[in-house]
Amino acid sequence: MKRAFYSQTPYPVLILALFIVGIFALTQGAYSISWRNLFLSSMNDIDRQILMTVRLPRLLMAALVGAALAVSGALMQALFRNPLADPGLLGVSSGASVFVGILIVLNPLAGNLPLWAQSYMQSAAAFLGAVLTCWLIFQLSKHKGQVSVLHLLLAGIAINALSGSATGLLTYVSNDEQLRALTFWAMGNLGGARWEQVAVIASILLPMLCYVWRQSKNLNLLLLGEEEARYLGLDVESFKIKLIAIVALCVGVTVAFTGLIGFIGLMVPHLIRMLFGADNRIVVPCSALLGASLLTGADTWARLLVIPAELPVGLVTSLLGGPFFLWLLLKNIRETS
Amino acid sequence: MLNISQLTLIRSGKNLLENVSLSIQPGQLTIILGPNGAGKSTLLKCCSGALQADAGHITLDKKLLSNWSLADLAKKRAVLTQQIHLPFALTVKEVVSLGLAPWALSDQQATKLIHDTLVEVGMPDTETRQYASLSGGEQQRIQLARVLVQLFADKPSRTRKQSQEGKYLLLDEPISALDLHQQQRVLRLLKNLAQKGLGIFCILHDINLAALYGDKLVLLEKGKVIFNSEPKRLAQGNTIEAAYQADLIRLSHPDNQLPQWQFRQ
Repeated sequence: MKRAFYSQTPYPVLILALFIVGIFALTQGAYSISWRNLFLSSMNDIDRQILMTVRLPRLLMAALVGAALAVSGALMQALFRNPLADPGLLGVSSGASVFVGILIVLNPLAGNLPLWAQSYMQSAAAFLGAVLTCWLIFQLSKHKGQVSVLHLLLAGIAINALSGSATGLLTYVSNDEQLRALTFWAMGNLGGARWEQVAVIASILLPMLCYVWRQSKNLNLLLLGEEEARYLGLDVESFKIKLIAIVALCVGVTVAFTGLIGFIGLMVPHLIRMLFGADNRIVVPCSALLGASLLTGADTWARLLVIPAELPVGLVTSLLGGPFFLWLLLKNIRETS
Repeated sequence: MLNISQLTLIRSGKNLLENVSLSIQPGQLTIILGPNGAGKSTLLKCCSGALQADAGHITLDKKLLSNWSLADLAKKRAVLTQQIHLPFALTVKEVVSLGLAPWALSDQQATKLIHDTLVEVGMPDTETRQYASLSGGEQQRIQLARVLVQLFADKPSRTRKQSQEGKYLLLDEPISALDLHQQQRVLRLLKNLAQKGLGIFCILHDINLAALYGDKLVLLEKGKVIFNSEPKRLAQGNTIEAAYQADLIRLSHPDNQLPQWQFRQ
């Protein structure tokens, strides 16, 4: 398969795409801001108010979360040596969501803390849930030192079912206010993005993304297999533990702030590999850029579709991702048989 | 020198290796033979540091193998295991360049080294092809190229004499999927590399090729070394027939009088 000319220079294309989607997200909505005014900064007070308190934090949140989810997908795919691995499908996200649910429903302190402290607490709970599920998946899917797709997906189904029932149980014991918070949050929503939250999320995700980018050469070694990676000088065991911690942190934080947003981690790295090849030194940074664009675009679309209300963005990504996953699965089955 | 001394490895109550002692000398092509399940691959895994023995020890240049750091070891020896499946669509160049991970080469140096090594394994100008689209034999040669660049990288120029001295190559059936022409090409390449100073530990199935190319043969049976010497020593006795429990006729190679074996019908 020969790759097209743009495969030589992936970054300008992706950065331009992110820029265009970003302008679109800032200007469009129930209240439109003219893009000309945006560039000439000749906005009136209402424009400025909406931009600074609503649209810009939401844009940053969407971009950060999209990048983190896409990179987490790429990481899990390298870790499990399988293109179908995704934090949502394997239950990492829902595992994290159960822990956040427990915090929302059972935490007596919830109302009395400042927003940033609540945010960190939710992140910590989600991280704990994500680590636990990652570990569980690893134990369940490992078969004779190899990770099998079948075991992987079955483990995902089991964990998703378990978390589903746990979340159901939580809604049963929660009061009206908690129930509202729980349902809105579980569908995946970027609506409530505020500057404090953007700051917290950026402080956690940006260092993680940089670290993964720096380690992308070692991710390539994992593609050969764990034994071969060791022969090439990589301390595989400690590297795997670090990767699991990073996936858990990225997924945990995004789940804590935005609920369940599925399929970004599956779609984005796959598209990047199709366009620019499977070298992780390209896949990791490009996935971050495309993931940011995709989630920002999906979120804007979710806002525009049913003005003045808005759809949960998790619904939109699932709508895109479901068919994509089916296509990928069929392709995978055809190739292996 | 890679020195294995009184190595014993026990797994689920069974002795996979028992009191194995041998040494891999730089400048020699040492070929490991033995029936299925004799412990050949297990021995290779011990020598490469992937498995820890229950008794005995392995030293590399007089330092215990377990005391070597992974990074130093990766610069000292390369290991080729059997059949590597890649889950993602990498190009040939990307696969071979993974062998350069322990080193810091410039793009230009890497490109040249990869090109030259691909020529050497008989896969010239395949850099941009998809690894997954190649046949099993071609993939095997690409993987061989990957472990070769791992050893050659510190002296990318063609003056390999110094760079290979005291380096080791461990291969698990590197020619199992190759046709006759390519088997000969790879075995000649290995022989040539050994003469330039590389110490090679190679598992083979074919006893005739082993006798023809090996500087030293090691025959394993049920985890024990039952022969460890030059191939011509097999011209007497019936060590091979007994180890493989096969009904064979021994011949002598017309060119060099080395022992060869044929089935009795």
